Amino acid sequence: MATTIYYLSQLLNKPVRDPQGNPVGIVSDLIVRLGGSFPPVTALTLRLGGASRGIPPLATFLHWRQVASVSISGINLSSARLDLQRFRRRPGELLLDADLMDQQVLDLNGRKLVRVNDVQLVAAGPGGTDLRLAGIDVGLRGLLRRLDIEPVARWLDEHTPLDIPDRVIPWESIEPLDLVDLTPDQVGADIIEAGGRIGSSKGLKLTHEKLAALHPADVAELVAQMSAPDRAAILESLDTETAAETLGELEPEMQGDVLEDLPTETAVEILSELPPDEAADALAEVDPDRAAELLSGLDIRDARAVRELMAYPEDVAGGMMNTSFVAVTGSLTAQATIDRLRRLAPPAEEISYVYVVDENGKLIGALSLRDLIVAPPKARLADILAGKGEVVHVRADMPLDEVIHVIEKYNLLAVPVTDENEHLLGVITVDDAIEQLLPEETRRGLLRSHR
Amino acid sequence: MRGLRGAAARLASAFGREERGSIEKKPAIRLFGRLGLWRYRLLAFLSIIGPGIITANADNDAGGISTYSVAGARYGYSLLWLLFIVTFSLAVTQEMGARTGAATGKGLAALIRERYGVKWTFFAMVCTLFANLATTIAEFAGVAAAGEILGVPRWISVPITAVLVWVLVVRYSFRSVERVFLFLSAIYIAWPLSAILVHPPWGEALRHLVTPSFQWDASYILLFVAFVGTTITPWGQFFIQAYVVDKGIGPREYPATRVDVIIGAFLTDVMSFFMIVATASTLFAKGIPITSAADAAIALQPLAGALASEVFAVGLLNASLLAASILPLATAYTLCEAFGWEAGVDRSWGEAPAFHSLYVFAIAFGALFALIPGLPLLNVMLFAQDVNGILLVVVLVFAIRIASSRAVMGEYANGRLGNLIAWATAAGLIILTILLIAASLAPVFGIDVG
Repeated sequence: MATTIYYLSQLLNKPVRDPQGNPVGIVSDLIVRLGGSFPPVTALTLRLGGASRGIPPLATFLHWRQVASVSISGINLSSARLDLQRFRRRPGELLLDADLMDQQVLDLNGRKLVRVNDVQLVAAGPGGTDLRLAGIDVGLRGLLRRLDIEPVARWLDEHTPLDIPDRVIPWESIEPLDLVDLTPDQVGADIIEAGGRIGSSKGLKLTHEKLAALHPADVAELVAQMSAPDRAAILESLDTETAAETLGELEPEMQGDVLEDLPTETAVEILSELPPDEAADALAEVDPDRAAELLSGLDIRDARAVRELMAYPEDVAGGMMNTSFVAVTGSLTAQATIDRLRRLAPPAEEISYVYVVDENGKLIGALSLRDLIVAPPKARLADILAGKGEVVHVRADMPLDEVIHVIEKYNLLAVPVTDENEHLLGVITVDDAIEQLLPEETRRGLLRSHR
Repeated sequence: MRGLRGAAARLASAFGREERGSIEKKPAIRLFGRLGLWRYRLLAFLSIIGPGIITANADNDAGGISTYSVAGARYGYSLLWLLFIVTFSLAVTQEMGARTGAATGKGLAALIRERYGVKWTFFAMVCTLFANLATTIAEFAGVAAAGEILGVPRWISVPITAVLVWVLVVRYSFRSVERVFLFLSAIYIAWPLSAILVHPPWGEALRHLVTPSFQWDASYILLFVAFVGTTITPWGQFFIQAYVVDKGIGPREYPATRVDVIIGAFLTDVMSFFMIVATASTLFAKGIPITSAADAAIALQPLAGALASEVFAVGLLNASLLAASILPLATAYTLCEAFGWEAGVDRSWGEAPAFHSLYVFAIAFGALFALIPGLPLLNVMLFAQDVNGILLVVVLVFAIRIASSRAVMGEYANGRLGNLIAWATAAGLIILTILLIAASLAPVFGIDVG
């Protein structure tokens, strides 16, 4: 089956003709319905002939059914009777010119924001009417085409060693950021400027399924490149869990910015998904009034945990510790403890050790998962502990470099943090310690090598 | 936890290396920790004080010093009224740029591209490139002039500074370079001190501040346009917005930035005021003609006496260096942002070829142009400001239209008064450009415009 490749810039502003070949208007935009690797063009908007520059042109909408053939000389319609409708945005639809041209989109494979120079379409079927969105042109060639000087590129290709590349990213790995707000500013000037794209994106948000399918660390890498309003919009469009994991991967200062920009309700939802230590770190970067507002939205227990963590300076154990951990009393048996762990199903970083405390919360000992599994099922934790040395722990006010030293010296996966009376407050995992240990340059270098 | 810190900062479109927040907002500021609320507020204010004042300071560059000196030396206090008006234009346009950055989180070039498409962007970028290259030439001409006052020939001073600027920014960071220059800016205090020591007729100076006057000859209008073009610049418009975006200032933190930007605009022009008064009360008062940068140093004699030339040269050198380290960088960032090319001084040539090529090109072009034998340095510095003044209109029209668009800015769109002043500035520049062309062509057609 023969297919033809078009670029959006070759179709925009081209005449729309009736079956007799009389021009009725010019192409103003193409609309695709999102979904699949090659979303189909389902409609076009056109400016009716005769609308002069001074008069706001009617933005009219024509269903793609009425199109008989497509070529770079224009679009021919199948019937003389125009079934025109006033254009209005509908969910799941994208305006190729308004929403994509010259905007930034996410390149999910390249993990970066790219600017759209042109949009590639592929045509098949009778008259080339099965027109589909194929990819995004981000190359120099697209720029030259938009400037109407593509022949220059062709000449350079043929007559010089220079090669002007055509860089097209397939739509499969592209995620548009957001719909452009088409609400006209003032009657007159901006309507004309927008080429009659009347409509509004209000209430219509894109769902970012392709983005949400990435690992949160990758989502964060992309989110970090966005402008602040886009950042907030994207996080809002993700489900709360993904949004929280993404936020957790951002640098603290940016976390703060995001929490300031997001609507309060969304910010609170995301915060309550975060472990208390991360929530505290993020909130530390937020303006105090706003932080208080967000804290008051959290449920009381979360808020208290976060507040306690925030009371510690950043550079001591208390400032880095996580307050979620598993603590049990010594009277429990190994089997009962394992059963309890199974029920609690704590996240990976919390399951390394089970901490044994007395009825006042004083730390007595720590048992690794290995200790529990190899112990006789009926053995009480207190008895298992009896065979071990005293538990290694750090005080909440211990400087971070000393904490790291302790973790390294005893080869721990996590170290418990206590107050001056040896009451268990939280834990610091080896992951947290490593992050502290890496100088910024190294962290950046590691990230770059992943790209 | 903070895994992406480096990457995020690296990727932020920015003028400079990612030091975002490294000094400004130490994470040690804890809500209920060691610092109280008021200290947090103070720190927050201090942390964002900067963009306006830095841009404003860089505004008094080689072109600024020479334009204001020539204005004072040739026309005495009579151009002060223009300074008074231009100050409001500067404050309004800078505030507008900063606000656009805070509201959209995007640079001006990106917004022009998104809103007006490739062709208009290309046009705007050609204008910006021309204006910026002209300004870069002026900065290197400033280096050459300062060097010659200190007895260093330009073929030594200019290449050394060109390489120095490149190495400092690429190897170290713009921010650290910037701090050194800002510190050295303290030398500008020489002009106000000198002006005060001459005991100029303050009453007359202040009267001229509010008394408009105009002359109908080409060289006057040329200086007039240069005066506006050195105070409000195309690059300054891009720079202030990029700075605000880079620092992550959003609508919430914006009020403090607005204060900073407006204070910055007025401070710059207070300095310009004293430069004009110092030259007017020395060179103009004694009828000394100004033909080179060395003549402009006479304005500092009341303060520095025999050392006036040296003090002037150091001031000029510092001003030129600060701007010469910003302009090529600003040019490369702006163009890359407009066309979607990778940018950043910490990216390799392979990662960001367009950025590095543009950056090196701007430095090399400016430096080589300033090395043309027998180049009249003072005139070059002045003429570059005219190029700025004329091309500013283009950038300004885009900036105003974007900042007044509700679709882009939402509730932060321009107010009426701001719009009025900004449009009046653009309109004034267009009229001046037409007048300039008319006055330059008039003698050709035998029209006497005495």
